[in-house]
Amino acid sequence: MRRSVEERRIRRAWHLLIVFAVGAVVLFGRLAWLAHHVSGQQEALRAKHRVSQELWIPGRRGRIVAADGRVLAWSERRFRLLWRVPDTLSEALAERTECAQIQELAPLLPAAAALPTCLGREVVLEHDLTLSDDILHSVSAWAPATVSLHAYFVRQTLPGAPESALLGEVELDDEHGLERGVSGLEKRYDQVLRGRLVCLRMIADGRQAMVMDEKSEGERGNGDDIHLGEVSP
Amino acid sequence: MATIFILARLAHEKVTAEARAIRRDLGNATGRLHVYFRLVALLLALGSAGCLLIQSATRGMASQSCFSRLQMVWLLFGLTFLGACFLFPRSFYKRHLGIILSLVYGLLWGVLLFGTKIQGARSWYRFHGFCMQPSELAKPAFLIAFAWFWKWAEKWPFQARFAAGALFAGLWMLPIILQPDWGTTMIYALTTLVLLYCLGMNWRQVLAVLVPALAGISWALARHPYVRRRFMAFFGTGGDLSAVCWQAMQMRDCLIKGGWTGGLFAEPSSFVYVPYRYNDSIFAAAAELLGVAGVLPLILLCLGWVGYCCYLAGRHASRWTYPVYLGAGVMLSGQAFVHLAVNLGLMPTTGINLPLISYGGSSLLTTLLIIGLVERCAWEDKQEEASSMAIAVVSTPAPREKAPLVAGTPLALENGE
Repeated sequence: MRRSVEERRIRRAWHLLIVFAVGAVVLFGRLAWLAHHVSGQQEALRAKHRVSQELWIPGRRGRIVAADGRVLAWSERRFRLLWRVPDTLSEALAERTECAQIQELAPLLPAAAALPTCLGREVVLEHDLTLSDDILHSVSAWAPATVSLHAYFVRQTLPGAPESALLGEVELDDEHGLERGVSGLEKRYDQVLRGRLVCLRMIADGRQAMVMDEKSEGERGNGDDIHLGEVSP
Repeated sequence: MATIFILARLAHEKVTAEARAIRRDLGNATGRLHVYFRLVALLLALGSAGCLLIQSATRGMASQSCFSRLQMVWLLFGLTFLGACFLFPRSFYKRHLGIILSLVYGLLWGVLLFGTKIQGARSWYRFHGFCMQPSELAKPAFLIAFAWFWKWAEKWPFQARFAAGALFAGLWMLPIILQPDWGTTMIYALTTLVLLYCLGMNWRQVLAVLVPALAGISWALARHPYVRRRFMAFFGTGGDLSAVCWQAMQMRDCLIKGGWTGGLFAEPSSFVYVPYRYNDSIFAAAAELLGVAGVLPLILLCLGWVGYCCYLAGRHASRWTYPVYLGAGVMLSGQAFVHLAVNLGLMPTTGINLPLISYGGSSLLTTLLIIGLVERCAWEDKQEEASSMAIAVVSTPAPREKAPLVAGTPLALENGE
């Protein structure tokens, strides 16, 4: 009885090897098929037309939270709508006509009579836009390339909070778009609160555009929060 | 004070006895050292090949040399651990199994509380830039624990042993499922299923295990959208799945571009567009560099390892080491085959890396520990076999001496004297 149990175990061990051998044959077959039968020409052509671009996006500054959970200071991402007016009047008028067809954009455009004074300059069409504003989506989808969005942060504080005097001020670093603390708690804990630049790589090839290294906002880039109960003011 | 003194004395006696046992065993280390150095030479060659592959695959990255340098450090570190694993007797693991299990299982649960979340899974301990993945390091402990449990319960009825074995494996996998780390869970589940089958499970029991496993997969698909997206991307269903398909498509491009002989110095390379080309996609990157001819030895090596473990299980295994050999074979070769299948587009992406080759300190250390454990068990089994054969030879009664032939006796006449 014992002998038959052991013989069965040995037999099953060899069954295992047979299964793995079949798996190895399948893997090799697939590898050989990809190497031999699939045409490399189209793949090579697509590979030749790959385009990649890197975007550096500033992370949001961390929040300052009171001991009882009230958020005393936080940053909001806002957008500014800009139009790079062409250098010649005729081109500017043509582009203005094109932009006027976008319903949300039309009332924001400068008057045709004012265009000569704006030629070759960047004009602010609107500011303090948020992600919930429909104009952002319309502009992204339909506007010409000379219309762009510029993201920035606005630091908000809780009105009437007794801790307001301790919080301090921030200023915007124009080079990186990050907020930097200049006084009070904002300055003292700047290393913790400050956001980081996140690199998002966009790659497009013959099949589709693709974002590589896609990370959610919660995972990296944003600064860390501080809680007043844990830090000494 | 008296209690403290007594406890201290007991601890000292235990440590002294342990040290004496180890010294006695190490005293007979000559034969083992020979095997150990051969093993180290082979693994160093394989590991170095892995470092070279990582160096080539990370071409164009800002931290190109960093990965291969770190991998080499881990390799040297791991070979030291392999030495310790190989030089200590297996009775050492049996004696200290409780401590080993408590430590490892504690680390598995502790990572859920104190671990760092990377790419959606809280699977790592991070300490000053040093990362450790406890679910990887738990693999050799799982093999030892399962083997010990199976031997300990050998007097139980098989049904009870099978149910308890499955429950043990389920409890071991529970913290890993909660991380969630589906790739590692799959490897553990596969190992358990194969072990139970080889230890005598019948088809009814196979179904009894498969049904909850399928239920678990369905739960994972329902609970975790990213798992669902991977399955849907693999089967080509559902809306815009470009993010999930990207890795699979780029790996495919690498394999096609590599062809039969590869393009070691060809530009532009496709693998620079493959995510995680130093660990999860290293086979595809290697295939582009070396071609089918260059990566075929990898497939044969994986098959060779499981073949070696099956040979040991069939020829030399004791009741304790049989599950260790098979478990080690399935864990390493199974993981390698899953990695290859993902890279070849035969499975959805799982995040499993290639043992000994992919970048990853925990995985490399675990692979070397498992190899060390298998080699140690094989060496001891062969020694026991040799000594039992020697005893059998010694205890065979000596043949009776023939009576001298005396002239004139019938025997002498028969022999012509």
